[in-house]
Amino acid sequence: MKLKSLLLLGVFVVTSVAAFAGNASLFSYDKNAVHRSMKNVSAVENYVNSNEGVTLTTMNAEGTELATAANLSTSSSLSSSMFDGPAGIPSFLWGCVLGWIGILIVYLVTQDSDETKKALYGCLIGWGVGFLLYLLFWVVIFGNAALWSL
Amino acid sequence: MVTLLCGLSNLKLKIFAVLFTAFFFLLSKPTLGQQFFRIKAEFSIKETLVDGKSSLLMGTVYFDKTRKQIIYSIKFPEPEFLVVTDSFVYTIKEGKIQEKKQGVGLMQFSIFNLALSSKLSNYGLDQSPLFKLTNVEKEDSLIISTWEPTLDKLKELTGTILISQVHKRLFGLVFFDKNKKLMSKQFFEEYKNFSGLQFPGQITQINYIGGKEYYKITTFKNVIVNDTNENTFYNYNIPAQ
Repeated sequence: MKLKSLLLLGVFVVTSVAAFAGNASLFSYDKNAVHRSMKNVSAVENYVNSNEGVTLTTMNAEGTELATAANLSTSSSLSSSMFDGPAGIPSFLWGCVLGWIGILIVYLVTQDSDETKKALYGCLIGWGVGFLLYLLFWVVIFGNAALWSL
Repeated sequence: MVTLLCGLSNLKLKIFAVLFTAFFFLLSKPTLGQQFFRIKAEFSIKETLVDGKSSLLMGTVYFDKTRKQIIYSIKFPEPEFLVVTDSFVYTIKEGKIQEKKQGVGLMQFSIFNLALSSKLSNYGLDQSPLFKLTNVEKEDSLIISTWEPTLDKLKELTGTILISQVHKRLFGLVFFDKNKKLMSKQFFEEYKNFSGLQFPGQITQINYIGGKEYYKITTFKNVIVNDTNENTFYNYNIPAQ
């Protein structure tokens, strides 16, 4: 019986650790691979840092090999990945940390008036509770001050 | 304490009440002395693209929390401004709008807004109605929390998010799709303290697309917090179309 319990405990520990190690191992990456793939772009970055005012146009005009080696995209600022949210979710979905925006998100995502109402109620309750706590705070403070002044 | 208060005169009691109120108020607002409203940094964004090309953006970024717009003053590949607001993303060159794209609420989720609002440590998810915390684990210096989408419609779009913290700072994000397939990882490293604000010096993103890995490295340097100069940039006026 004791042996069976120990065995079960051992299995539990091993599986727990294994499951956990799975998640922890996700938080690592091959830094060398990343730096290898960025090697040519990093070279351009260093060049720009040491040559104030240089642009891709001037580099291309001068026939700088660095730019050619890096195979730089000519389209610049509105790189979609710069502003797309992680996991392919539009970033505005992630911006729902504020009440009213949260309502908008719920509406946009669900297109469901009931869900939107729930979000609205949640927001109003949140504001209500916040206001009551604020009121309570000042009532307590001024109440104390009034008592002491008697 | 009561005996002590009883021994005080009326005036002293009033003074005590005021001081107590002020002290209590300060305690209830621990971050009052740590209000961050502006951040400026030199940045570079290096990226490997799906079409086999690379991308490099360099310049200076300005963000004023009260102004609610991010201004990227880009010097490479070509000089231009990129202004991100709640509603739109503008590309401005030589004082004229070159491009205008829809971008509802993009700014709220930006690293600048999260950092200045002290919400970066869990990516603002703890205040999001769309995700709920379902598990927390610890291994060595990593605290790993698991977040699941709450709405059915959202579950059709995305899956679990794992967040890891090291020393109470955001370290890693792992995103899965609705089928529990790994989609993306982000690592926030090389934190530095800037006038009390912890800000990462490098963010490495790995996207998994079609069985391949694509990388994006964002670096920040010369970070300045609560800068009162360069108002022209912080309060950048978008030109009329």
